Amino acid sequence: MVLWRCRTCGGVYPDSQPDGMRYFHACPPLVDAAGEPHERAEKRDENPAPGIVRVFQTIPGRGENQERIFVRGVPVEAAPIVAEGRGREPA
Amino acid sequence: MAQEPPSALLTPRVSFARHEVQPPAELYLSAETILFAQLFNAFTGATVVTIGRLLHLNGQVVPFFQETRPVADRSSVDQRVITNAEGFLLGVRLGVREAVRTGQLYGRLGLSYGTVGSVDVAELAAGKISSQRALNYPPGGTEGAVEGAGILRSITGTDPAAGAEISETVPTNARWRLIALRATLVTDATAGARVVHLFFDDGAAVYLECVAASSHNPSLTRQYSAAAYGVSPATLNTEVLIPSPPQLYLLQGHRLRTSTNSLAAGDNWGAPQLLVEEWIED
Repeated sequence: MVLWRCRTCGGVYPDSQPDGMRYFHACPPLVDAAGEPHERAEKRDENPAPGIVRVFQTIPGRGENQERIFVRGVPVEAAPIVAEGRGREPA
Repeated sequence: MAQEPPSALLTPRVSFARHEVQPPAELYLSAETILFAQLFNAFTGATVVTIGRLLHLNGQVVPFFQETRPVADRSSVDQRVITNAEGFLLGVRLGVREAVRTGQLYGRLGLSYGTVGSVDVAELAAGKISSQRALNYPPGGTEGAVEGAGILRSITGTDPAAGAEISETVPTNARWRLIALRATLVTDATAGARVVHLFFDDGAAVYLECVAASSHNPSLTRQYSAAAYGVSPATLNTEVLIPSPPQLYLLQGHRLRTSTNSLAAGDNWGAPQLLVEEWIED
């Protein structure tokens, strides 16, 4: 289990749980004075979307917050390297 | 004294006609039929094993074996098991090697033409797979992914930054029933009474709000526990109890989150601990 810090919301979370299942972080909304929630501009949501595969990997020289998000069936190498939201870093 | 079991190495005394006889299995596979396995996996590192036997038209019994390691994000993974082979399916088993518990892996065995999943012609077996329970055809049988009891999970959520609220999202292709939630709030010296609200939404619209019965003053530490208490109890020592419904089912993308009146920048929620019953939703 590795602890990560989300660079968007500052939350710290494990990448997996003791039962062997992964944990998917999603940033909490910002709540204004009236109690109304507002999604963050660079919200990070690690949950997979339909047809989308997300692969976390360390990219040498670029930090550890990188990930590839690609459409299923497309070679991993062809996928763009992105960091959703502001990415993440080891906590 | 125990009797020795019969040896499998003995010369068989019985022989079977294998040519020009009716096949011992009813499931005929034409060359264009695909036997596929569809998997929804939530267990990191699971190795799914498909094993079976096919009676070719020349009378030969051919075993087949396949291993796959599906991604652990509950998304659908389609695996071709048999293609371009004609014969009778004698049997197929879909199992897992690792200590996977019931509810962490759901699978389906089926037949299709062309692309897997596009034109399904038969569903042979479907159900939850664990280290103690495999899918077998025959006899087959189907169980829906959300039938029966789910797996009980104790989940440590995200520890929010100071001044931020708790928010946990039900993962994609999962269904939760919330049993209990506990989290600690430490308030700083900023004046004002905090009141904790627990919201449940579908990712946008709120459908349930539960409120703590007592407020939370500055420079205090309180533990908030939500469960089906049935009544709105008073604060017990440093424990604040929030009643929530006993049968609260949450679909993928739904959130449970706090919203705290007068939350100061220095107030700090700890990581929530959740007890949920979870199903994989196919």
